Amino acid sequence: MRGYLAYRVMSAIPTVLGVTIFVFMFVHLLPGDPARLMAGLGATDDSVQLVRHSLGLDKPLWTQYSIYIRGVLQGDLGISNRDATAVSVHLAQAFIPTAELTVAGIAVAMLVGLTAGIVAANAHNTPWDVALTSGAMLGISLPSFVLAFILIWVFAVTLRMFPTGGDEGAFAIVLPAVTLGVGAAATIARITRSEMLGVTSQDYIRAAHAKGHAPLAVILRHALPNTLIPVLTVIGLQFGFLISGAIIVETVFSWHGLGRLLVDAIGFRDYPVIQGVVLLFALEFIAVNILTDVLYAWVDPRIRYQG
Amino acid sequence: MWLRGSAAVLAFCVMAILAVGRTGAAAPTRLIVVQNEDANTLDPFNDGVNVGLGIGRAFYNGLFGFDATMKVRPVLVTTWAVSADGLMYTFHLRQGVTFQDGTPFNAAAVKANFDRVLNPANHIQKYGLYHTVSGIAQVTVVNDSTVQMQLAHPSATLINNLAHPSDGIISPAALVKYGNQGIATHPVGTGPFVFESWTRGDRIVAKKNPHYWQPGLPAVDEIVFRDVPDSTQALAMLKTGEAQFVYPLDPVNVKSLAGQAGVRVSSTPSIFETCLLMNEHYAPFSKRNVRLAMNYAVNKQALISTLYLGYAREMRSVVGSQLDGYAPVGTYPFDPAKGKQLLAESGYPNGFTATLWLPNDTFSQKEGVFLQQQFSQIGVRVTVVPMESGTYDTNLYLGPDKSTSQLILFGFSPSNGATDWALRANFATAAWTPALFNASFYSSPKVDALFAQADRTTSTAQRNVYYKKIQMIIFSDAPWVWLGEPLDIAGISTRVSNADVLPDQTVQVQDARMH
Repeated sequence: MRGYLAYRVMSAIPTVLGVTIFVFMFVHLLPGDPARLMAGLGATDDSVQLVRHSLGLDKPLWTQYSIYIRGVLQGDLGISNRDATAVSVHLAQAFIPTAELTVAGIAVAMLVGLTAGIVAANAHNTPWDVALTSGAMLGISLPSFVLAFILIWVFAVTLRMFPTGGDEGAFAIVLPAVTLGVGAAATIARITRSEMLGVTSQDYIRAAHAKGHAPLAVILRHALPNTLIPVLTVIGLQFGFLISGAIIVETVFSWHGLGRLLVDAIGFRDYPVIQGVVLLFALEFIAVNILTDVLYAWVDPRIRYQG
Repeated sequence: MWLRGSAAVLAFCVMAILAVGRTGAAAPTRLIVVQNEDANTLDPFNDGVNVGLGIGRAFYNGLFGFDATMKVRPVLVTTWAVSADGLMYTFHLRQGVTFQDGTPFNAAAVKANFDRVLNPANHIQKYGLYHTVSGIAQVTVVNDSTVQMQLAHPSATLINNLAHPSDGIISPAALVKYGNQGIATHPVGTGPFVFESWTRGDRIVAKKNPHYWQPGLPAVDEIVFRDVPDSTQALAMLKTGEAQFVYPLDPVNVKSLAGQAGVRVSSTPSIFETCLLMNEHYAPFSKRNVRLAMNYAVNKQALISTLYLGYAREMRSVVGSQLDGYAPVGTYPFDPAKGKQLLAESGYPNGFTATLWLPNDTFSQKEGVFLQQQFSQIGVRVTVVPMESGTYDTNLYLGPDKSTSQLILFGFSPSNGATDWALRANFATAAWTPALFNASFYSSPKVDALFAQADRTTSTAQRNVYYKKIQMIIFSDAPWVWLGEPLDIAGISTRVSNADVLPDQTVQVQDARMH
């Protein structure tokens, strides 16, 4: 297992390097002059030139990249074009709010999704199943900002149960987590339901019922673990997706996480921050992928990796 | 055992309540101000964006400042004098003022600030404003309370540029302690509030400065500047009382605030003007009559009522009406028949085609479609080309050799409140892009000569005579279609007074009172 882990980590490095080259080139091919954006619309041309020089934007592209990559290897991700603070400081400040939101979101997603999937599978071909499947359809097709506005309107403005946004107080995380979780829950519910339907028709489930186990125990101890490989895959994919900051949710609820940071940086052509955030996302995706693979082995004893 | 335990708890609670009641600890008054962007920096000399400049007023004072009608008034300066040749300014500074870190405010502090911005090696953004436009060559300390500025050329706008919010005097000790870069996140000035914290993308917290030099101010204990990009959420915050001041508000939101208890909508004039640039290097627009036709084709009143829902005013000159030196010289009425006739006389009886470049936000696109429809009535077939903001900026600043623009939707606000700047930056020959903003490549030797004369005058009244002449010539030459001056809309709690949006679209909340 340890050997497998080491192998996976090593083989991820070329991927990460490729991502940095891609992001660097892509961002520099975008139209728009960051020097002018920084100097402000009312700036004179010599102000703009001064800003351009102070950001090193007048050096050749290859020089800019090699300076960047040398810094990354030493842990220095550069300085924000916007406020001259270190990019790593920006990332550190934005990471925790996003992490909180992601964990809360995945908790909501798993709770709602797994429960809905199990209940729907068990109540197969009854009105419950139809209701839950339609609910899942709605969850997947409803744009997150529409759901967000509905939740804000009902629970924050009308009922005053939760704040409209920001992260002051424990209640503030509820509405954004629910908004984020619902979309993922719907996908998880559908895959859980179809996997459960496949598993519950198996012989060993009938044997477990015949042995006299309580129905709930049969579902949770015998059926669910066997659905976990595909379900875990989906959860892993959703987790990676949620990690990318759930940009819309963070914007609507003014949650100052990585998604917000990225959007603001793009609008401002803040190259160092864009590169830093995308690099972080790539690392997170790779980490989640590796974790999912490791979890397969934990969940299914039959899977063992070559050392 | 139960009874004794609960009695003890009850007694404790009663004592706690009495204790709090006795200290009479009032909750600190806190004003929450919501804008739609985060500040970029809290170093005013390096900031070109309104959001941060408005916030900066809580921490900094300038030598001069603007009042609610964009008139310049002295703040850290008490009196001043100008030499006859307009090259030497002497400022007498306010006494008894200290920076928030205890350093005294004096002439040396002013010199330190301007030496910093005027040194090109520091790469401070406002170098252009203070060195090139204002012409400051040297700042000298005469004595503790008197400072002199020597100019390289006379400047019609020096005092206005010293009233610009970028002129926030920073404590020299803080500049040394935090360095040129670090000061961006550690503001230390002479203003009514002390910087407490800045969580990017979330909030900036400012606490009352107990040693502020103006008696009776600040009137609130704390201001929290929140950054909420989504306007619907900002509106919700206003309704729930989570925010007491929200700017900007969309005209569409105003209706939903009607009848909302505890909130009022404030709409104030701005110095922002929205207009259409016509590139004179595009054949049809090189003819004056064609440009006049374009002006006659647009029904500005209809534009204001459909797009701005009435929250804008028609322009009566070539610059905004809130500027000192503005002269109402006229407006082109809606007359498509006359427009068609002028086109026919200019050799375009069947009209012509033109592309319209604009930013790709919803509002600009709506405006573009409106204009397209208006111009079709005189036979000008316009193709609307929305551009992402970076692309738009790049294309706007292309020089005469590279620019392929025909029509550009443009907006301008002279942030120093000076008519001179609003005219010169857009209409002088020296202002052709990329130097400044004259993207229509308008050039009038008469206008340029009048600018030169205004430069050599030190009397504001006399300068305004020249500016009036310039406005008349530009209006007659019609290089632009002047669309309107939007009003600034803010949502303010009825508990708050003395907080507003200045015409330069920066917030002024540091003197607010709450009850």
